[in-house]
Amino acid sequence: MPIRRSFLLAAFVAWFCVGCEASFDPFEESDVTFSLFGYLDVAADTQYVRVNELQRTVGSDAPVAATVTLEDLERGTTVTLQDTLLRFGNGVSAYAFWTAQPVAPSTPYRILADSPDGNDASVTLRTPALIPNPMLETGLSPFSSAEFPPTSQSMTITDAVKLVDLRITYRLTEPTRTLTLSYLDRVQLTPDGTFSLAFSSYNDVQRALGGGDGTACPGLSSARVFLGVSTEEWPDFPLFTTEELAIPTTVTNVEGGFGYVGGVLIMEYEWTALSGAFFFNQQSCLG
Amino acid sequence: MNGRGSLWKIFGLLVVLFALGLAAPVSAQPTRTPITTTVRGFVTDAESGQALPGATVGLFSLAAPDATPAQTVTDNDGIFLLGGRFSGRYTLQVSYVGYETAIDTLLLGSRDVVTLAVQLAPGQTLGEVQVEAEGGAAQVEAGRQSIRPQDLARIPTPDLSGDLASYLQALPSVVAVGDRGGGLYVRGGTPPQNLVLMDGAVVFQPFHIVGFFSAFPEDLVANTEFYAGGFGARYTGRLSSVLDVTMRDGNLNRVAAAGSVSPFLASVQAEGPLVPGRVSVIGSARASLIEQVGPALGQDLPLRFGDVFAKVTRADPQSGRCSLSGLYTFDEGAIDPQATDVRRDVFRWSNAAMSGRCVLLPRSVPFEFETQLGLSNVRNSVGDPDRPQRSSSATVVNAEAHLARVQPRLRLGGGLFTRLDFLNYELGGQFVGFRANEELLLASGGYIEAIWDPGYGLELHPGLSVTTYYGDYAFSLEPRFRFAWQPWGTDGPTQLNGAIGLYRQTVNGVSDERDAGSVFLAWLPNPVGDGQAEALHAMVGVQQKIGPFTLAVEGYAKRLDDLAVPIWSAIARFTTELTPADGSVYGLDARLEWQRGPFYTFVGYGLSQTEYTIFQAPLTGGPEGFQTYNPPHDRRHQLNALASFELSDFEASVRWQYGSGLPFTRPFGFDSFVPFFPLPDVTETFGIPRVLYREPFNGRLPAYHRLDVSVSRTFEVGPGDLSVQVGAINVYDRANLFYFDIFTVRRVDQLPLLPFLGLKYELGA
Repeated sequence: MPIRRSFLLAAFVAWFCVGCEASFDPFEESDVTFSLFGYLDVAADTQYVRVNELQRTVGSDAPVAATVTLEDLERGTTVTLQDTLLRFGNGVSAYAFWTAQPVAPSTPYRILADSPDGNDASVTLRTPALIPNPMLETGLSPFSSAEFPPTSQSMTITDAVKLVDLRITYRLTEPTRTLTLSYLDRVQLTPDGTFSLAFSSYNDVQRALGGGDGTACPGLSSARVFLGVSTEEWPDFPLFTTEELAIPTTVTNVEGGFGYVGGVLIMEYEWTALSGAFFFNQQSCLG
Repeated sequence: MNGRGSLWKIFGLLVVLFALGLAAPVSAQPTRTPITTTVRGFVTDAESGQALPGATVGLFSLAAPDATPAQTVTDNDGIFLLGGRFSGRYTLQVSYVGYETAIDTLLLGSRDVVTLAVQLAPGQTLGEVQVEAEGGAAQVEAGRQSIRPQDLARIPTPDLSGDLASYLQALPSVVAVGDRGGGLYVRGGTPPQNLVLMDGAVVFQPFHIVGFFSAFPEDLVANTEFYAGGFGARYTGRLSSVLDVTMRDGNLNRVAAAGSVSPFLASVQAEGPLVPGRVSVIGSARASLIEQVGPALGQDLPLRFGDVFAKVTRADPQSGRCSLSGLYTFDEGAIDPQATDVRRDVFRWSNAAMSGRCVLLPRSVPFEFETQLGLSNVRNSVGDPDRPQRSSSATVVNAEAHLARVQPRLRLGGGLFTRLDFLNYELGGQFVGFRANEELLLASGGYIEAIWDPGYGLELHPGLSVTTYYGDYAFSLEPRFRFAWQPWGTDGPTQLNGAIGLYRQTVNGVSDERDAGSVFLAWLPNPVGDGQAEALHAMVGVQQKIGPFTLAVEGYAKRLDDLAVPIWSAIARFTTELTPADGSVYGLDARLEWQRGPFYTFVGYGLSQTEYTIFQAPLTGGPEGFQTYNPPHDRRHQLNALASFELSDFEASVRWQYGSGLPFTRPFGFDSFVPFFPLPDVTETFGIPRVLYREPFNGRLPAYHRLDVSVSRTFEVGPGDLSVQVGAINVYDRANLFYFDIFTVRRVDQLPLLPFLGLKYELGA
């Protein structure tokens, strides 16, 4: 009996020692391999789509094992995108896939990220139509009878299906800096389908600089308008919090993966006439 | 009339009833029947003068030898109280393992109060009195057990002095999530929900950064009452458990000193009489060495810790003891020194605690009176010592008075307390909404409790505590109830026991449980919900003696409300919001103990399930709703096996521990997501790193197991004794995972095989 007890004890210890190196797979099994972020811009000469390979360290510069293609579903043509390593300021990096192939307006496209193990992710999207240049009104009437020069500006955008971004970047001389303000939430959709915006850029800049009570007197050298339009499919991103957007299923159009890729038309214009309005207002402020 | 006024009236009524209960039997004695006599006293070691907690005291009638004797055990101060209508000649027998039994003959019936000073001489114990309070890991009664210094010595620890931290981790109720970090989880409760008392003063974070050690080494601890739950009305302000440590008094009669060194720490200790037989002092200082020794053992362990303790005691064998205790601890180190990000942060915490305490047996009244004044402070910080990124401190001043007396089959106790908490924190935005602040909380209250023996082997412990806050918190009324039943009498082999009680906690230590590598605790007034965090405990157990074996099995359940936990988030970031969580804990502890001669074995198994429920949107999308998950300390199975052998100058012990895997968040990937408003240039915007997972803590780490051994022997060398200890931690070099950093895909393991050699030299022991 003592021999048998000793044997059992030894077997017990050996059984546990066999597993001294615990194998451990930290990842949950999933057939999801990629997340894709970006947009096709019909006005741009180069298209970029960010492709993240899941289950690898965020920010690492190891190549993404994927073949990414862009297919014009109307014409049946397909191009393979080239990868490029992007390095960012805080030492992290990411991969984008790009092509200089022109992207046509009002056209359906399919982007496919193909992995060697057969787990693909794809997006089907439609690019927006081209639209006329927006009408920009400074509201400046130097010969008006008003005691002070008028301060309101307006912008009218016609034929756009959906506005997804509207920003004005002000290059200020006093203080010397650049200031970008978003106006998307102030745009009104009129019954005839026109988007219109009425605003006071001087007051907006003054408020943004913390001088809403009139204590700041900014000066302007130039302004640049950034306008993005898209199709009805484009989600209302401003309605979501960052926390909500971080949930991978909140907004995604990627089949077999996560992320979002849409079609946009980005238009940028200098709005030099605004500096005159600022000049008059600055005189008023100083006076 | 408002609610608070009503409750005060109820409490006032309870106080009056309690006072009447104390006073009535004294003043209303029938003239022809024997008067109620209180036989009480102190039991001390005859050589050192130190109190002997847990000694068994029996009072046997010489006139009726077959009558059931009145029996009790001494408390942590070595005090016993026996009450009854005693008349005639009795023998008082006092016994304690390792001491000669003391027998005294008393003539009772003529005095209300008989006060005795019983000194036990070390030697062979006689077996006349059933020794119920000897302790041992299976001597558990509704979550409560007494832990003696010799229990601590049985656990292999890489130092010649055992430690309460190592011992507690051998119990089925206690979970440690790793071998560093300094946190113990008791029956699903978190470390800041444990009330740790050193001679009555709160010690906020007494467990050192290296998990084997605490501020309570075997050499300094006289006795510990550990409640894994269901604690009585005397203890308030914590939800989970109580560790009531009584520190050892210095030797009243002779000077002794010791010094020890091991790879983990070095210590010196001295004690002796200031006034022989009356006033003693004991002092100890310890400092870690593992940071210096680690590289020689192939380990980079930049961990530093230490503590200083001193206690002065004035003892009067007839009237009482007064003591002044002081403790300072410090801990510092990086939990994951190999990390390249914030997990490389250096954490620091220190405790300073002071307690002035008197236990008195007033000469003319049959009461035991205890008063205590405590002052305690804890400081936590992360980052540069001079300019920490986050810091938190808590200071508590408490003043307490307790009173107890005995009646036939009844012991009544009660007390009053006032507590002032001062909290100061600078959290650097870690917890949204709590950046920097100072808070002052003043609370006062009281409690009453009784131990009633209605016969039939039954013992009932009802209690009620009341706390009122001068501030935003509601009046708190917390009923408690414990019972024990020995259906075959007090000498029978079986005891059934149970407890139920309501517990509330106002000052909580909040940690970021998303990150196992972060041990920073922010002490805050309960930051979520409408009031205090709350717990309801219920447990029932059985203790059975079977020959040389003692088997104890206990089932328990807890309901938890308004705990503060971080919200789930897919975004990899340092800051988090706190949200209220409700929870439940269910479990079962089984303990089997065997002792014969020099051999001792113990096997403990713990089964536990902890669940938290919060109101939040699921991370895979869908509507907001209640989500349930297992927090990262939810260890489902835990097994500890311990064997020790002690003969003369030779001791050997071996312990094997097993713990099933702890929950961790198992992702299916991560990426950086790019927000689309405003429209980004994806070649210039990195985006926000995020973890892709369906729910938090949805995976389990691998199981943990480890074998530790130690052998020691003591030699006479010169005027003192030299003890030599050799042993090893993690004998079969198991790669136990501490935690997994999912952002860098890197595992952080616990200690590998670590052999050790320890030396200790004692003079005057």
